Amino acid sequence: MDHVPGPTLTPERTRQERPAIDEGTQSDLPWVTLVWNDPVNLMSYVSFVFQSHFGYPKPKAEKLMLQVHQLGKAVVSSGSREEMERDVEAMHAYGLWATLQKSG
Amino acid sequence: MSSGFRRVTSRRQRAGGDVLVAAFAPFEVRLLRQFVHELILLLQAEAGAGQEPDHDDVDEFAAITARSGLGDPGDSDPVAPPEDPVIARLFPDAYPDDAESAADFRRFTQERLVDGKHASAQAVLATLPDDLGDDDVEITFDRPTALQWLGTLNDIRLALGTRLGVEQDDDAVWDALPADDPRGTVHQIYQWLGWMQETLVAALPRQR
Repeated sequence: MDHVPGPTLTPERTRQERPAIDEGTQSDLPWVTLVWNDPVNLMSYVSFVFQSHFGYPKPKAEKLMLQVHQLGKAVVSSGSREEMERDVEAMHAYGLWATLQKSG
Repeated sequence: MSSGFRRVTSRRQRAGGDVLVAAFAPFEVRLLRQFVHELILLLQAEAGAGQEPDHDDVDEFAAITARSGLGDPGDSDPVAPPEDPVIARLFPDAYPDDAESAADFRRFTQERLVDGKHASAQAVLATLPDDLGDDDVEITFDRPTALQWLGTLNDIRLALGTRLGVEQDDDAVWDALPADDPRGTVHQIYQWLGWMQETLVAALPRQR
C-alpha cells in the first residue's frame, strides 16, 4: 500500500483535482477500502489493526484512526477491486466496519 | 479482580518471543468462558453447523447472558443480508449500495470469516481453565494466541454493544440506569471486557 488518498477533510478539492473520467475507462479506476466509525471498537485497537494489517507506521495508523473517529470514516487503502475485497475481508475478520467502492 | 494483561519476557520462551500474562479471579474466568461460549454458539448457528454443543458451562452468569441476548440469530442463509443486527455487525455488507455485489462478497467470504472467528473463540476457550478452585488463576499465552484473544474480545463486545444499543460517549445514559436494571449489569461487563482488551493491546508483544 504505497498510496492512500488524502484526508477526507478536503473531499471536494480531492475530487476536483482528479482528471476527468471517461465513461469507458471506469473499470480501470482504483477502488478504495473505507473504514467507518462505530461506538464499540477501541481507538487503540483500530490503530493496532491499521499497523498490523497494512503495515502502516504508528503515526499514519493513528491519523487514520482519528479520521475514522472524528469524521465518521476514512479511506484506509486503495488498489484493484480484488485487493480491496481482500482488505475489507481482513477488516471484517478484525471486527472493523469496512466497505469498498470505486475511488472518486 | 484482575489487573489486566502484562508482557513478560520468559527465558524459555525467548525463541518464540514474549508472552502475555494475566491473573483472574475464578468468577472472572467463569464470566469469560460463558461469553466466549455464547459467541461460539452464535457462530455455529451462523455456520449452520447443526451440532448440539455441550452446554456444561451453565453457572450463575447464565441468567445475565440470557438477558444480554448474545445468541439467537435469525436465519442463516449465507448470502442474504442478515436480519439479526449482531450478525449484520459481525459480517457487514461490503457493498452498501450494491446488493448483488454484497451477496457475491458474502458467498465468497462468509464461511471463511465465520470459521476464523470460531477458531479464535475455541482457542481462547482452551486458555481458560474450567476446573476452578477459590484461588486466582494465572493465564499465559504467546502472540498468536493474543491475536485470537483480541479478536474474540472484540467480537463479544460488538455483539453486546449491538444488543445494548451502545452509542458514542453515552456513559451518562448507563450511569443513570436504576441499580436493578439488568442492562446496567451487562453494560458493566461490556466495559470490563473493553478494559481487558485495552490492557491486551497495550501489552501485545511486537512481531518478531
